[in-house]
Amino acid sequence: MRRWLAISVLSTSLLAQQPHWAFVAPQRPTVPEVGGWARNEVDRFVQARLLAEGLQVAPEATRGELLRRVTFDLTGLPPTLAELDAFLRDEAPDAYERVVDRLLASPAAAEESTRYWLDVSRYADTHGMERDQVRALWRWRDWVLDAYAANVAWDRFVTEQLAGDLLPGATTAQRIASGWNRNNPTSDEGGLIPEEYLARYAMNRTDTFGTAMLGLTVGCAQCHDHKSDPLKQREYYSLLAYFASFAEEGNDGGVLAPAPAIRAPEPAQEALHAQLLAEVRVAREAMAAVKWLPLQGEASGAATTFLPKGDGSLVAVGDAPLKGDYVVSLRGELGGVKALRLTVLPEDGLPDNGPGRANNGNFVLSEVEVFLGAGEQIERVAIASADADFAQPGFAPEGVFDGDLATGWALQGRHEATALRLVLAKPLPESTQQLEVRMRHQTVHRQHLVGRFAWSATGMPVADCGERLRAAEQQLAAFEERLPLCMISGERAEPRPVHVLTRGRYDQPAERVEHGTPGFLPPLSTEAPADRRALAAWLFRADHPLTARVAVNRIWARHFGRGLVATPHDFGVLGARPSHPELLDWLACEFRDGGWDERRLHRLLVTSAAYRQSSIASAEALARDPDNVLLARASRQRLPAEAIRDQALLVSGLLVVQQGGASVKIPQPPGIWEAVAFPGSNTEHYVADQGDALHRRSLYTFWKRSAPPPLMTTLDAPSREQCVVDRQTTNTPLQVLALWNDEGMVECARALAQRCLDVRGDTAARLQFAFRTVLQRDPSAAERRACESLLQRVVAESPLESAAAECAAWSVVANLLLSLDEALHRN
Amino acid sequence: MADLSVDRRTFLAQCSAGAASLAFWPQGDHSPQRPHFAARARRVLYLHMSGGPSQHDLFDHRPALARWHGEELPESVRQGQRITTMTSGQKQLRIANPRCRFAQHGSSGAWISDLLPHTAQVVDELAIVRSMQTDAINHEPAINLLQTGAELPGRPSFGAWLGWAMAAEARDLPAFVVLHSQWSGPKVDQPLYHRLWGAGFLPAQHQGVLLRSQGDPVLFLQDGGGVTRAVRAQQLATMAELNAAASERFRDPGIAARQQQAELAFRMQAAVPQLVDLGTESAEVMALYGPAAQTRGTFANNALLARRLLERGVRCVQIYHRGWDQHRDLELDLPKQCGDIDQPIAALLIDLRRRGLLEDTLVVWTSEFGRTVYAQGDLDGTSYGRDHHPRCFVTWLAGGGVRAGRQHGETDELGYNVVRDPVHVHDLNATMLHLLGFDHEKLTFPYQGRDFRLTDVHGRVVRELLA
Repeated sequence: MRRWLAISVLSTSLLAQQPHWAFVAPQRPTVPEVGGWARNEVDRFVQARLLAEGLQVAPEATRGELLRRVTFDLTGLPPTLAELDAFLRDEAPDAYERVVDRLLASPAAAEESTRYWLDVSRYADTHGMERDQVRALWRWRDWVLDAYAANVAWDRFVTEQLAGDLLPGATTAQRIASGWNRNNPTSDEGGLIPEEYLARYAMNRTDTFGTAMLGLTVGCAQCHDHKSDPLKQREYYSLLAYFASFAEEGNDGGVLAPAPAIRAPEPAQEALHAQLLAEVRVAREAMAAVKWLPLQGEASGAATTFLPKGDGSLVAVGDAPLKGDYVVSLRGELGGVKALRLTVLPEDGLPDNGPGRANNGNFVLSEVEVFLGAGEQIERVAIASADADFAQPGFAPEGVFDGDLATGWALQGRHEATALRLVLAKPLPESTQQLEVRMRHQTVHRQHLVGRFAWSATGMPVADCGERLRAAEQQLAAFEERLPLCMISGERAEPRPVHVLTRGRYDQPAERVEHGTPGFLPPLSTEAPADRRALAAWLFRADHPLTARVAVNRIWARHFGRGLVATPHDFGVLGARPSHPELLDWLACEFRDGGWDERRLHRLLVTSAAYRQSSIASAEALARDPDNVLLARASRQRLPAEAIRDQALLVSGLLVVQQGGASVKIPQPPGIWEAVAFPGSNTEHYVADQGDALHRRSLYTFWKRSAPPPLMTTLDAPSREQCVVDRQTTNTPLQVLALWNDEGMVECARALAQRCLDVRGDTAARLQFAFRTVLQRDPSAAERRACESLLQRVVAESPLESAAAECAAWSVVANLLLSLDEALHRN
Repeated sequence: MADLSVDRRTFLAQCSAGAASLAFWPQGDHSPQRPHFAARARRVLYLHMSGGPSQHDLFDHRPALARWHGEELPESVRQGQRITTMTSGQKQLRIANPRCRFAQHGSSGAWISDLLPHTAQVVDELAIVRSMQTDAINHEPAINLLQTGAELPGRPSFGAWLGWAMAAEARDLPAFVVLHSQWSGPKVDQPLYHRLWGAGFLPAQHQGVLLRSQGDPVLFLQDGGGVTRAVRAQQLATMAELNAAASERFRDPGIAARQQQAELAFRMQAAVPQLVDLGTESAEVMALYGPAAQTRGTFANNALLARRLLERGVRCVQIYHRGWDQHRDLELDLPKQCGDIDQPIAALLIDLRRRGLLEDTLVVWTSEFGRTVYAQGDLDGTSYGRDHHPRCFVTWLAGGGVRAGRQHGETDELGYNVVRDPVHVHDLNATMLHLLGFDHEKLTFPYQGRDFRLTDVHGRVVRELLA
């Protein structure tokens, strides 16, 4: 507390004199003039600094190291043996650049960028609290994959995720993109107070926006003005206003996709979906094209008086009897008629506006009987099929000609003109001038008689049209039922009022605030409506000091191990100062002015000479710059959890390459979910998938927030509850145990062992294969001897017969290689 | 080998299998914190009753409830305070007098319900706080607040703070171990979350390690696929060779640290099975904890494991027992829940006392909040329960530095509001840290530009609870 205050005072006084560097828009600096080593502008900034500090750059990394480094950095996978051999053979001066281009264009690169973004976005496959039920946001994750694969510009990438739902004529894809805002954990705890949780959700979104887009710890201002940065508590809640009015409930209800949500077809489903929609449209058009001849007539029966309306329809007047049949005489040119149509219509005088006479405006038409002729000569006309514009569930149109008075057609809740079409078994005789129709109302439903109706007829082939429409509609409905759901953003009709919350407590609202951005940053455009779209536009103002710097810094950290600003989550007063301020600003300007082209930025960084250095520190560099701030060498980085598992899958030949789709459950030790789950929750019991799903990249591993996949969290993956822009790495015995004994890792070791045994040649050749496959280098003589000795001892002590013993011994070696420090790093 | 350089020799001497390794549970870049004053306790046994046991039926004897039984909670008592949406729609909030009997026990004369007969026997070891308070009314924020000092997820848990501050004493075990127990009450009960024993922004190696009752006691512990102990030892020795070569080539001190963790993993593979093998316990001790102690995963079994962990120098052992969220069927389920914990808890206190461990082990029994004095559901039937109540609940402490026999705090005659000596969750955490030698205002970790504390900007040490 005391330290805060001290810094707060300090920063205020500093700010009075000079604004904090990160709150001033970057100006494109002049690139330093240095020669020789530099390959591009990045290097000139790095080299100028090293010259000033009197430090020597490191030599270039070996080709194997460089290929491993750039392949992991861009794709999260190691290079294959074929890729290694091709690169080693390629003597063209641009061999490396072509590798970079190949990697950047690969689907694996999109997967790796997505993996980073899932940490930032706190993506998971469950809601996070209480029952922690399954949630549907993986279509959003796939949108991110597609966006990276298409190298969508950063401004569009962010805008569509922040506000895709608000864009004019928003496409399904843009609405899916807006699912980004819905990644916050939610609860379905019984008895929760909705206002409390809605406030929490909005705070989580605001804090995520602050960290991800602004690189600021805005959450500090929930309870009071920020202690070090010039962010007022009032400004925090103004920012929160953009995220506070989602059309959502405080309790997620434990449903798969709490509203707002949509059906979000996968790419493979889109073509069929479009086709089915088109079929319904065409069938409707065909149906609409049928010409119906209105029939004049009068009705009697059911103790009812029928009044004709000007349009040829009849209205039943007065209180309805409990049951009753109408006898309707219809006249007209009826020769050759193939179908009859009954249209029921709303009417002011009917209960609840009709079209029926029951209290709720409904009716149940239990049977329609059609007769030719009159008196003794009457002849029943057979009906072949029936269909209707609408039918109440359980009251299908077929009920009107099934001979069963207990069934019938009804329309509860629908009060508009609705047609019932009856296709006759055969056309009416040529000379027909008159028909008698009995409309029977004999179900148990009291007073459910039709109130206003009209009859018409056609000689056109309606049967086919109706059949076709019904089939198309059924197919479409069945298909849409199978389409994945996706949570999206969407605003309430009436925005929620937003107040400053005293000490951040939802039940202590203070002054009301409007939408707004922090005053120490550039102003909002006043013309645009106050919504998330305006917030996105504000982020991408050319003079915004943070947006480009924050984005560039994160990408820099991916490739160089630490950010130019070493605190990528905090560009504020207490954050780290940039190690190379001019380079950061130059990159930010380059990114912004170059159309926010992320792929181009990656290429610029990984083709620099600075990136291509060896990671081995000279004694001098290690002593003078242990953290490698000055970049007189490349970084040595522990691989992320996902890459460690994916590497094992790739080198063992087990990896199944398949982009996107619902998340998969890989084997994990028993009881992980059960031990903590809410009994009866749909994430209580863990059942691993089968087949290909087990060998997909870790990006697709199902993520339950309250009990995440143990291999991933053991290897430092975050819990996906909050925005994380820089993972920690730790070094624990539990990691070693996981690498030794996780079921998937053991399986990979066995498969890799088999690949070694498939190599024709002696043990040395097999070991060479293993080292080159896993580490992209040959073993040293001492390493080879050590491994040979291990193989011999395991075989000698094995109780198994020789082939099996050899296989077991190679599995031990494969497991060893996969858990070596070198295998867990890219140098 | 003859071609070993000096560097490599040193590396192997530090790391290789069989050599006396110095590796302890990793501490990261942070050395243990220096205690701010003499610690009264060196380790913590943290018993968390998840869901919120009813203080009215166990520890907070309010004789007036007999008179008030069936009456509406007066607005003069409730004073407009919020209640959950589970009972806010209920037409009546009728006061429920507990069906159990209370009696005074021990020389302290503490009132204890007859649902806890064994606890009653050791009541003089306890300092009972009847005036606990929390801010949250739902489980998830309340349990976060208690165990991490903040309602929102993301802060380090108590055990992680302790492991970070004190490091492990045990050579082959982590500093912070968590156990989950089976329970006999309603099977549908509140969940737990891995973040409750998480490290938050502290280095991740300080997160609690689950000692599991199903499968491997520690995840991935057991070697499989025909890998024998001897094979693992040989693999480890080869790993040391290869990592030594890498260390020489890359000049990264992290490589030696990784090899040391592999050595520690190897030792844990031997140490943990010994730890969980209760065959070495005498029949008398087994009887003390009760018959359930024979069954893996019971609270009694976990209690015995906890003692063994504490004996081996683990800093913080946390046992969770679920099933206390009794919105209904209180009369049926509460005795079952008490049956799970009562005898083992008394046994633990006795066992720790006679082994000389209780003097410097802080034992805490708590939950995230209490339950309402009014009934949820139909009080006249038998299915009623009690709703969440954050305004008062009971925690007890025992062991190192605790003023045994202290009865602290008092609620009003309806047991609804605290009328004397309120103790907030932050105060409890401050007091616990104090007993362990740390000033809760000084034990800070810098993160995102701020020095974070377990107690945020709150908390005061409750002096009356100190011996």
